[in-house]
Amino acid sequence: MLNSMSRNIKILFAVFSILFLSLIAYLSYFQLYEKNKLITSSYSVYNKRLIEQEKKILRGSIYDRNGNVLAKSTIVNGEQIRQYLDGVPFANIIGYSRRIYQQGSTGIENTYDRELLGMINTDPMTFLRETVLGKSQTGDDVVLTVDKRLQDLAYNLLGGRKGAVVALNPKTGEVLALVSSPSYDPNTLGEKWNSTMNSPDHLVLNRATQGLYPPGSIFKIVTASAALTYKPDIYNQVFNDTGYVIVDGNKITNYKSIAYGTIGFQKAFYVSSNTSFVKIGLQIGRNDLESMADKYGLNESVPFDISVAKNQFPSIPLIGGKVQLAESSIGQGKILVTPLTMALMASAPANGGVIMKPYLMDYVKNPVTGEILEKTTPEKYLNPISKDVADKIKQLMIGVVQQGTGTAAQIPGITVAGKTGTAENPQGQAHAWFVGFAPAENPKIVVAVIVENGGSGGAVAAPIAREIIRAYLGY
Amino acid sequence: MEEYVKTGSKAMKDIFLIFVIAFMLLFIYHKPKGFDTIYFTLAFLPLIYIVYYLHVRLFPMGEIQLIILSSFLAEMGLIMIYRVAPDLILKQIAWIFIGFILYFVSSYVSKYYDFFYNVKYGNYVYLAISFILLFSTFVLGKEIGGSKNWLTFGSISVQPSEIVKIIYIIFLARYLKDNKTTKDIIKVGAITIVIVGILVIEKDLGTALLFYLTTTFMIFAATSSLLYTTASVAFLGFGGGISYFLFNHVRVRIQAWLNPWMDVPGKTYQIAQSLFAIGAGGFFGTGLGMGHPEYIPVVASDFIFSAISEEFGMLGSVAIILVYFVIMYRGIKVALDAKDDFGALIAVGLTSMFSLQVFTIIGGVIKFIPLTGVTLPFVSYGGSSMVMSFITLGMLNGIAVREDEDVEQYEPQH
Repeated sequence: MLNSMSRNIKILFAVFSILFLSLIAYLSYFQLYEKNKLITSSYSVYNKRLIEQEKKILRGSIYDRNGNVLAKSTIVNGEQIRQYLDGVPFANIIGYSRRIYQQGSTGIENTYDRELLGMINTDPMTFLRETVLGKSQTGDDVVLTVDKRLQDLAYNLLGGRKGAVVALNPKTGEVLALVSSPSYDPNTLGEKWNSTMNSPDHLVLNRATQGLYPPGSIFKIVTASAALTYKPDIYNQVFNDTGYVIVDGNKITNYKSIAYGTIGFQKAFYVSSNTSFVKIGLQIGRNDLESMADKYGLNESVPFDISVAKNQFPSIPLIGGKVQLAESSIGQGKILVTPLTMALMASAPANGGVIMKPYLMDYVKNPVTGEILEKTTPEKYLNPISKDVADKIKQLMIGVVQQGTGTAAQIPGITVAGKTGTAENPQGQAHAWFVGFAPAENPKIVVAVIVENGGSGGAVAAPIAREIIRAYLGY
Repeated sequence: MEEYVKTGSKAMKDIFLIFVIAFMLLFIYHKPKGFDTIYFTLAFLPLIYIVYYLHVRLFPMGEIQLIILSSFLAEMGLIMIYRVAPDLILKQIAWIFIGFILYFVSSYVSKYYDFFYNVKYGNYVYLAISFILLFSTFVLGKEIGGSKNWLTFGSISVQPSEIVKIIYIIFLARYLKDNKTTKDIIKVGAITIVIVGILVIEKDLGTALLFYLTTTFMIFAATSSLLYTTASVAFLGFGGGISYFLFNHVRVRIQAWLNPWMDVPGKTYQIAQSLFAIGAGGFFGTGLGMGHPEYIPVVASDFIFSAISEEFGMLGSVAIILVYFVIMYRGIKVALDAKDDFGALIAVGLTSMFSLQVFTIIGGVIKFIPLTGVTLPFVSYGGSSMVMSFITLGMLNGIAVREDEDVEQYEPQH
């Protein structure tokens, strides 16, 4: 045989050796790195092995801030059963798990799925080995910031009407209550899947985070913020309120067309004068109003533990946008916001101009040892206004409750600050809005209430907020 | 020689033990349907011992490792096939039996491999047979598992491309031994591209790749030309690119390789399930019968390596790779020791085809390279593959024996 061929064959041997070794190298790489991704990523939905193994894990419980059990798992006849102890009022927060209904997951059950399965801080190798060995595992417990008492109260106050309530601590962003009404019972969701999912009342829509509504007059907080920040002299202007104003041929009226005569900025805010605020908005101009709306997060999705809808503040066209600017100044037109966002908006004046990032999960703990495995630390989310402007708006909101449209929110012994809204909408009667906080000197709770097609914000929404504040502060 | 047989006997004992332990476990997990299953399964043990001793007797200077290692691989295949699809095991044992017979037949025939060279108009004859077999599937073919490359006779399905593999290697060896000018290489390259094209159209991408690379390697061995090799690899990239845009089935494979999570319930279901299985196995495996390889589609044939990875872990699957490595090494050794260029080229071709097939399917199921459906020699379920794998090793043994027997002629006679 030719020498050259013998050399070539040896080269081929080297090539094949490299090919075989690369297989071994890739397998090692796969087992060391890629594999972990497979077990913990969302793709694991398709891994029937994990689903089999997860059935053996006793899913963790969910608690409210005071240690009340909201969801727990028990074994009945060898089958794991998930119980929701305060099912209906909490359904929009806690949601359900595909591991129970096989059809998608929502809410806390979805977001903290891995925690509830005890898969955090456990390396996948140990996890697999333990499950293969048949050791029964327990998941970790999730403790929420929500107060069961407030949640139940708020749900009952809505009394089956369509609407939402959001209550939070403005200093930390802890969500104290997040109610969507009407709701469904997750304990019987399996049997009533179709009727629940296709309900004309949209039972599974979380109105507090996914409902998009025109804000109406509560948006005047943003307009006032823009005025005080960009055109401070507006604060001292005087307006002639005739009950209506005409912008490019369009007539915009006050609520019930009441004419307030000659009024200052403060009075215009207390009585929620549309006529004056349209004039204010036109002075601020589209750039500054849009800029302030952006600072309040009205063009984004709020970062949150459960899914939220994106707020919408469409930009106002430079040419021919005068009517839209006028409507936007009083929270009408094309603006759409979620109740959660409105609670955050009201927390800016309550917290010196800073909006804290809202959160539902306080901490995750090991049910046996009590060891805290994850803990949310409060963090700043937005800072739309200065401390100075925040204090001025707070004073304006105190005036609303003391002598304006929000007197129904008064509580003897506590200074409540607030703003009402009565948002016109194409669906029928106006939506009743109220946002407010208390005690005004040292705010501990911010509340946003909406009752769909409820009518006047001052008459319908403000009393609900009052009861929630009263219950929380213990008056 | 004494030493040799001793090592061989020891290996056979290990194979025996593994078999007994594995099937004891399996018979507990999956109760056999009837006694015939147990008898036939147990018949595998005397079968491999008879084959082993026959080999020592008939080919004292033969490549005994080849028969030991292929017995081990076939055994691993039987274990996994019984694990995932017990009904298939009797057929598989029958194919192993036929495979052993054809191993000896091809060993004897290949001892006289000069005959392949001396056939009149050999090149035309081999090419004619190859093309007739390949085209036969267009006319009579049946689509199985997404590829239209099967011929069915009653209950038996044959993959003609498996037979063409060997005929084409003999053709290439015969042709390349004498024709090494650029013009000749272009000619043989063109013929290969036609064959590869037919296979791509039949959706047999894996086999197409095997033909292409085997031809490339044989041309390199015969001509030492880096130019041809580089040109060939460049053309592979070019052709691959064209077929990516031309054929949907090529595109799907490549996309599934780049992102196996793109469409798990649909297009990438197979590769995703394979990766889950390998991941579940980890380094030590779940243990035989403790995993869920039944979640992997076509697990008995194309994905048997994933099943082994799950239950025997990375250690077990690397052991399998190393067994193939040793077989490849023996094949190279046969090529190096061959008496003449023709024998060496056949051995290079057979070894290349075999090793590349192993690389293609293992690399495919672990997502190292795009997945193409070829079988894992000796382990996967399937008759054509089993028989042709045994014939491949039989021919290597024949070429080796030929060499050794010639040497013996020069030894003084007692």
